[in-house]
Amino acid sequence: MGDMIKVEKMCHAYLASDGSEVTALDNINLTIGAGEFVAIIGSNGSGKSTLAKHFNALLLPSAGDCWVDGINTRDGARLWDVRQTVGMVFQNPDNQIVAAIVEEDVAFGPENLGVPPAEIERRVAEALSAVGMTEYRHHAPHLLSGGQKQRVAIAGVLAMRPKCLVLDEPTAMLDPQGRQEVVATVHRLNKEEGITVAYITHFMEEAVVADRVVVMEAGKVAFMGTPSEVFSQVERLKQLGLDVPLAADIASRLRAKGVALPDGIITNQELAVSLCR
Amino acid sequence: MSIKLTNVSYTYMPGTPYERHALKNINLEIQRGEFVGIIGHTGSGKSTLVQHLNGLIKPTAGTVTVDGADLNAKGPEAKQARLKVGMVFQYPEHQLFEETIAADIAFGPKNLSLSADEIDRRVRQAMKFAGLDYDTYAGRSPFQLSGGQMRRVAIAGVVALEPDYLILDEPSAGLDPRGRDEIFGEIRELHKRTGTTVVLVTHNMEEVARLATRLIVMKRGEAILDGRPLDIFRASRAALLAAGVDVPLVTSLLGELKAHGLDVDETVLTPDKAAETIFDAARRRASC
Repeated sequence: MGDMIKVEKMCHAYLASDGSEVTALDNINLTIGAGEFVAIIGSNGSGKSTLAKHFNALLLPSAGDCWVDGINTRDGARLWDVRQTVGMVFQNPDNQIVAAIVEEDVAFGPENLGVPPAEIERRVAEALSAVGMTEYRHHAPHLLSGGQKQRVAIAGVLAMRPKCLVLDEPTAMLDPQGRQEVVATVHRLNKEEGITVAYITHFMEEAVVADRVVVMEAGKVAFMGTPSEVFSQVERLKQLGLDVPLAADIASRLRAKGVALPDGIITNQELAVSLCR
Repeated sequence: MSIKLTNVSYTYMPGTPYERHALKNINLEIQRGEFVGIIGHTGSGKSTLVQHLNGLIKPTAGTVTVDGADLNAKGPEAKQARLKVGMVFQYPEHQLFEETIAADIAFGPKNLSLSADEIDRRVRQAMKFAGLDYDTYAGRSPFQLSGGQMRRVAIAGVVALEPDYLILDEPSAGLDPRGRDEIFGEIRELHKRTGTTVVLVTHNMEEVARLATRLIVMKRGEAILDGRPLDIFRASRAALLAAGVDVPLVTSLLGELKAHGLDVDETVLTPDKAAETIFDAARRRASC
């Protein structure tokens, strides 16, 4: 498995409006393998979104390097290759939808890549089917629910055939059902289509199902590991102002009361099975 | 003293192909001092409903009264009634505009033509609500704050109007867990300290379970459930799921444990209490 994204000694600094320099990212080292599903968590201002914007060269490093599928993001001549490799989905679906009909919106990306019309049609059909929105192809996006709009936004990115999807809090504005729709869609794309996923979220329940979790703190990678490794560190996560999955929280409280439980419990199912053995 | 909706219906774009019935014959009374949570699927009519509560939207049919005054009548009485209801929209920090935090919070009270002393008092009080020290922050730009702090300043601007009814539409969307806890903590404090009526639209079941004295569940423009949060979570899970919302995480965890044969008390709503009942149940099980 090759590296989809490789970040080496990367820093990002910018000038605040009062003229002082702010270090948003401080010496980040991180690799995301092709086909991997990586969740990135951290409090507001920890640098998650700044990091994600380096993954498709919306931002360039102040120091260090970021490679996307082997291309250095500083290589201006290959900027468009980078942007086609990595598709971004943001928090608010309303800011990402440009057309008045769902299928036209999904076609917008490939049209701009100069894809021939017959091919565009095929891609739009595939992308809408991948997110389960085929029956809405002739609808007006602004009349869809938040979850549906976000799926249309994802389809618009998929139609550009990216190898990697970067999602920056894609469910922040959605209700529980909309969140589930989006999470399930992203999972299927990762497992079935082999698309690499970098998924930023404040909802720990969404991070639990990743292959790996990266915890950001004050512009640095605080720690990372499998979901069970990361979410077992209940106290440390709480110190960072983050939630832990409820099952992990309860398991740690029960252990403190002297209940013998195995390490690494992070789902309701695991807790139930351990308690009822 | 209450906000009362009588047979309220609202239709978007009536008479066009896009006509949509956003609210269907809502009858609802929110008493002074209540803490009401409103939940429901996106598009269920939550935001349309709360925009009726201070006259931002006029019902297609039916009436809305605040302390007895019809919001959509003409005249000073209706205007006075609208002032009693403070509204915090989604992403309220987008509405910050002044050069300093104090000036931004003072903008609303100034428009109420209050005296300079009274405005100053309210700004100080509101900054305390936002958890910002007056001497340190009054002269700073609101745009230098973190996202969570900006949100709190924006909410403080509405709190400074000292409304009798405070409506908040998704005040925690996009905040990290710490920012979310801070905002909900402040709203709870305000409710306790001043008795301000709070109407909270949210997707966050944990907060509704913890804070609200009453829960209203919206589905397709109708209020399908209305009662104590605990009763609704316990008795109406199927109806909640059908409405596109879910019970709190604690409730679903305890449900799962119960299904595995552990005799836990399913009515608790906090992780703390949940750990206790699970501990007790596990001990009872081990001893038999």
